[in-house]
Amino acid sequence: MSAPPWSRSKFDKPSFGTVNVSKSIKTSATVPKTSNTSSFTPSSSSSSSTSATAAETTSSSRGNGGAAAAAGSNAWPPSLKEYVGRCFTAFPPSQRPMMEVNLKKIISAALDSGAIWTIDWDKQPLPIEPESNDDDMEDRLEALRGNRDKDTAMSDAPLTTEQTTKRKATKRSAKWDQPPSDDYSPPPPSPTIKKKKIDLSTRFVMSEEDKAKKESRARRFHSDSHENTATPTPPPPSFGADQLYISDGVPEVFVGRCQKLEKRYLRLTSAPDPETVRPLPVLKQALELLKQKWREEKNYAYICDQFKSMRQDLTVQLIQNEFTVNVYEIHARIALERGDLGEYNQCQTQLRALYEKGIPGHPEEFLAYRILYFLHTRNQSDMNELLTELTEKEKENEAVMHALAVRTALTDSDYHTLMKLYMNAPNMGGYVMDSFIDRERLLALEIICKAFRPEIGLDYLTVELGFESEEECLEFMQRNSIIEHFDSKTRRLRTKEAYPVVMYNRMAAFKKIDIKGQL
Amino acid sequence: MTMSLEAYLAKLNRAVKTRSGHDLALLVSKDNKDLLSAVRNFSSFSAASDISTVAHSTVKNKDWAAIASGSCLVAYLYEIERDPVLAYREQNTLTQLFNRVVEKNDNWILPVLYTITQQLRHIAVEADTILQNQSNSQNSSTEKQERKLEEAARTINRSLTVCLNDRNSPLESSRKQGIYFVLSVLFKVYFKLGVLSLAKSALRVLNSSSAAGDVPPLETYPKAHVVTFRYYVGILAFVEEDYEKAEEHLSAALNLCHRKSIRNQQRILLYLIPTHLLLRRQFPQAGVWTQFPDLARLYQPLFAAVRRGDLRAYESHLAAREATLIKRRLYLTLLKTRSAIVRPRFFEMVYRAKDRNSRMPVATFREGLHAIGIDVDDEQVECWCAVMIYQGQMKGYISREKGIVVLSNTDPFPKRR
Repeated sequence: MSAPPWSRSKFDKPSFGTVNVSKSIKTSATVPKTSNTSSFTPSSSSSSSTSATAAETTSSSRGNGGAAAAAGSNAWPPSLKEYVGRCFTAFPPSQRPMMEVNLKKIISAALDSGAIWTIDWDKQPLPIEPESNDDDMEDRLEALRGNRDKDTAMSDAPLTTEQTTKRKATKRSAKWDQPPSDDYSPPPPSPTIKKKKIDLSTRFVMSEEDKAKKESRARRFHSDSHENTATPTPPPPSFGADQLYISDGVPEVFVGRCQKLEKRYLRLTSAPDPETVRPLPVLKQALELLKQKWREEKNYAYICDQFKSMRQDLTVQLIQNEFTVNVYEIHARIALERGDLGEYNQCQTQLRALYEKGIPGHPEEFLAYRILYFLHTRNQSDMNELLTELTEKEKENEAVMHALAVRTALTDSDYHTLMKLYMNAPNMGGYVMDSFIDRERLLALEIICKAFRPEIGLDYLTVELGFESEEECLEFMQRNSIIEHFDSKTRRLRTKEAYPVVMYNRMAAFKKIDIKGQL
Repeated sequence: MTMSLEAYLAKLNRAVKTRSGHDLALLVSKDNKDLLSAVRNFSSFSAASDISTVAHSTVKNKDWAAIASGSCLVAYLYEIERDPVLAYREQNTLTQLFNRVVEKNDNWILPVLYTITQQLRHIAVEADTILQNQSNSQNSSTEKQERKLEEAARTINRSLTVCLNDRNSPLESSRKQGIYFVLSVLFKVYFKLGVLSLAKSALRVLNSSSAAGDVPPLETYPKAHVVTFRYYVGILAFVEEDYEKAEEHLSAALNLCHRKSIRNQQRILLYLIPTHLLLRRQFPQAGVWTQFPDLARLYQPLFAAVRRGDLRAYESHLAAREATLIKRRLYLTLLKTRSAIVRPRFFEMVYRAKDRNSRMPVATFREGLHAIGIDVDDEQVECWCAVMIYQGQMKGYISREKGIVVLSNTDPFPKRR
């Protein structure tokens, strides 16, 4: 596995110092006491500093009281900004806390006395004497610690399979194309920045910038167990991780030039070629086309493949907005409709991350699916954790309340309540429940066979096992080899005889299932 | 009594030379009075680079010099500057460095490791609280920052690995003696972060090592280590609804727990009491409630309702405590208790009120429920009865044609499953 190619440097050789400046300032921006030092950002530290850094920096200085508020970066002479940049480059990280404390004092003194514009910052001595020790080696080692994040986001799930459930399309309103409340608006990034073609000879040489990125990634993901490995291990192209560190380092924004609406999904093994990547406006048209095609043709293999390539185009261009959320939500709903839980789960993992960034969508709807999904995988401890995190607002949501009621019914083995909830699931909840309803039907039937004697009527079974017709119920009994105990004249099941067979089938159905739910 | 930096460093150096783990642990603790007195003399941090210089001249070993100056810096930032966020950063760097020092030593160093990892946890929690308040007041919830405690967890996990991987020293002086303490610190962090899956995987790592015979038997560890460890393993089993295992570990923890550490006993009982109820229908004795008033406030009304079979009261007490119970991961178990114990008791009371008639109309149960404000249809009552029969809390069968529940003549509501 090579490092994600689209993260390669587009700048030839920025100086190490430059990179360090933006990195250090970024670090200090997270530290409250020094956050007035953090308000000097970008201009001096080269064009490579990111908008994300700038935004974060200003936001962190906002809450910091008068001094910091007054010291917005505009109020500072450029020479001071350069001075601060020098300070950060002159010291290894181990010495920075002390340096920052002093720097803070120097600058606040200058601010207080009003001397900020009169001091010749170019000649100002550094806050402490730089000390040479072997900490730099430490830093470099740290930079080399790789990120071993597992590639979970993009596993090769089979695209589709035959649908397992016999749900009629009319039974539940499939709301997969629910549009988000507002359309996205941010303009596409300037197309003047073009991705350089990378020739093979340079691909394996780490640029200084890459090192810096590695360092920032190492801080975030640094894995203790590989501390002493000196060989750099490039991380596998895990999308989540890349998005994280790119948005936090230097953005590698490029805009594709592909104008075709349809595109087959191909797993990337090298740098994405802008000629084959569709820009946002084209993707938006493509989504409309896909929605129409799904409505008309219902070809899941095709649709799933198209959505995967669309997600890939969004990812490589770092597009994360309401449109992105919309794409993932629609794909997740379509996957649910076809019972493809593996694909659904990939979408919902990304959706959670997008919602956490505050991008609008339908978080409660998908929270409800997640609860139901935990019930499918019977993950008790994750369910406990999820419960501890629920907010009051979420608990008042209809879909979330429904999912929680399903949970309680399952705990109680209360099949009567469960089947009522199954019949009245909001949104696409019924499709998630499809994944475990047969299992629960077997348990319900086992309970019924144990408790009701000597017989039980087909009418009761049909309703209490959540079937829409007696035929479906009979077919279920057929599948579970108890039809021979069904008296077709009285239309009753002889419970005592059926019980051992049902118990056997139920035990088989409750064996541990694959948690990913891949088809 | 004030102490100069040089005197402090000399003291520390002596402790290192004589391998006095306990003395050293005290010296690197951020609230140690010698340490504080030594750093209190720093008027400004221009002196900070001096610490390092002085430390390196007093403490000859390069690593220990760095640890000494790191400890000074943490104490200064935490106690004098009162800045847990900066102090956290230093403490984390210090712990990472210390992990490498531990690798070169045997079990004498463990007390120091305990102090340093616990201190890292404490400062990380404080730093997170401050950062959390700041981001709340700024209302900038756009992107979630990684919590300091998450980073600290990785550092402490490394400390655990360093203990587990002692392949050189003989067992009596092995760093493996530190396993359970450090693992408990790590459990605390994971529970605080709400990532029980990580706690479980840490436990798996330990279990595979001990299955390979690489870990000394649990009995050879100090009781304090064992109590904390079994407490957390008990809770992990509890949230997985493996109540037998939970009972085993929690009971063991309670038995080993120091008689006077009331708070720890209370923590254990918080989970052990509902476990006993669900598993064995055991109620705590009255003395427990008087000794642990907090537990009494939480549980006593619920348990009284269970005794009376008062389904309605149980539900309302449960609802009133929902938030607390969810936070402690107790809610799902108490919900289970409702259907497994309270509901059968209520049905039993209706049965007794009807002169122990063994042929109980479903409608009678429905009316009984209606009387306490629970309105449901006959199918719901049948379903509840069916589940109770299935689970063995009620003996008999349901005749749907006649609309009655036929109860066993002997012991129709068995007390034990």
